[in-house]
Amino acid sequence: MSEPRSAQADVDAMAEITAALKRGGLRVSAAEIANMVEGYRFVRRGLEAIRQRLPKTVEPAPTFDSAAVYRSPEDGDDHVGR
Amino acid sequence: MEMTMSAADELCYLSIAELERAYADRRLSPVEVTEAYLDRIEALDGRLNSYITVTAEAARAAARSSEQRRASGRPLGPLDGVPVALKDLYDTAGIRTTAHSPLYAERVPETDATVVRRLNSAGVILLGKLAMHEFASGGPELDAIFPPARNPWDTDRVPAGSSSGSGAALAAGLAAGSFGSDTGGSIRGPASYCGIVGLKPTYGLVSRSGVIPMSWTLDHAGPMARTVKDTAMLLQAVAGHDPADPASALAEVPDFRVHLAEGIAGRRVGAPLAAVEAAGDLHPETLAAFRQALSSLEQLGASIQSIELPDHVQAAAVWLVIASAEAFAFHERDAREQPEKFGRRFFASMLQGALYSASDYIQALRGRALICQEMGNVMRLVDLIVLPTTPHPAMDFATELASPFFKRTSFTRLFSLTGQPAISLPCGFSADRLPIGLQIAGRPFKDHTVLAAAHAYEQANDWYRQRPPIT
Repeated sequence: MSEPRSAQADVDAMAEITAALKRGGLRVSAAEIANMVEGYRFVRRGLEAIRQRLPKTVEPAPTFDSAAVYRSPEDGDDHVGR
Repeated sequence: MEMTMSAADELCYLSIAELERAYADRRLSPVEVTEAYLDRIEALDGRLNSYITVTAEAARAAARSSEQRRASGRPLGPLDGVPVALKDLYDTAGIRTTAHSPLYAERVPETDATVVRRLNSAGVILLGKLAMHEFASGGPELDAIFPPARNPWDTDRVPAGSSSGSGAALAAGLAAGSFGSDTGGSIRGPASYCGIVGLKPTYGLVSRSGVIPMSWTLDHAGPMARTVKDTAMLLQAVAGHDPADPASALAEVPDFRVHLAEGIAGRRVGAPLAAVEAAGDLHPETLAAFRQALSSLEQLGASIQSIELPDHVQAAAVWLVIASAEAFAFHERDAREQPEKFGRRFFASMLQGALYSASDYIQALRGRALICQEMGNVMRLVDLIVLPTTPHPAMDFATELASPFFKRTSFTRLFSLTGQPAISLPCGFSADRLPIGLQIAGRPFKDHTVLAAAHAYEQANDWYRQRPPIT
């Protein structure tokens, strides 16, 4: 599950992470930021991959009253949703 | 009643179902069973660190009350007098609930979580509160405010997390049952590493009200025990709608114990063998145990077929964005104002949530919806899905601490995203005598089908009878 490393991509990711944490008023050491780079890039890549195959029609999954979602009569018992 | 240490130890390994019968027949009393557990915790937990708080006096008082109810023929139900312990994120009125964090080290809730209230109504005896990964995330920390729980099968190894204390305590005979929480595998992982049973119920079946959250839309509360039947009994006591949990379902609650007899014969079981074999960190003994389990399920009458699951790397990214963004939303103020009150491992994990935009979060929610659709297509072909719970047996602490979370294969996260029920139960041991777990997932609100399949497998194999070498 590891992703290809690129020095420039790491630098860019580090800058993005630093900016996001600064924006949030969060105090984090440089070493801790460096440790976040690989995971951050992994997530960015996976999120982009799934975004590219998301049809426009897909809406965020609802999270309330899951019984109504799971058990709608037209879907029957085998529907999987949230 | 005086008894030898070995007899007391045997008593602590009785199943909940066996305890129920022994209480009903007056062969045992809740007081002597509770005393045996408290003695064993005192003797062994110094090496395991599974408990953060032992509520000995309250447990003794509850045991005396239970004994009176039993003696007068008016037990509150099958769990009356059964000693359990809870992951330390279930709010317990008057008992500190720490989430294993310095931030909450002195936090004492005024009210019980819904699960706790229902367990109290069922007459269970609370032995105490159990170790976990800080705020159910981040992994073990050797220098945490409370020491990390250790695996009874090998104390140099982790019990997995985040319900680490639950897995360790059950395997070591330090509780008869437990409740953990599972956001990406935190019940099933410890069940696998510790050789016990853990169920992540369908999202919405068990209330999370009063359970300190990690990620609201992914958190599941669920039972852990040493047998599938015990797990079903614990689930029965707490399942059902709770208006205090906005995600709680209005679903009917079946009699889980009655359904156990349905077995697995005639069920269509999907096995994603190609995905399992492709996992880079798959241990050969885990694969061998899984293949053996498939044969056993086939002998029990299941029809095994090959399936493909949604892409697990994309699922991992979706899960990480949702989980970390929601965790950060919960902790944001404390993260800004008193960052020193968090363990560094959890802090770094939670801060990932500060890195994603609102659009990223929405795209992740849409990604989850797509994954649910894809899983729905799979579940139209099969009744159940089976795969290893974890790609390998328990790791030692050094390996665990050096291994970034996102790099590991997860066979559990998909079912956290879809919300469908999934159980882990023992299916073998490595050459090092470490447990290996089998995961069985089913359709939403078919928790009883999952439990029935797991019970059939469990009874046909005797892995669940194995005990760790800790005395």
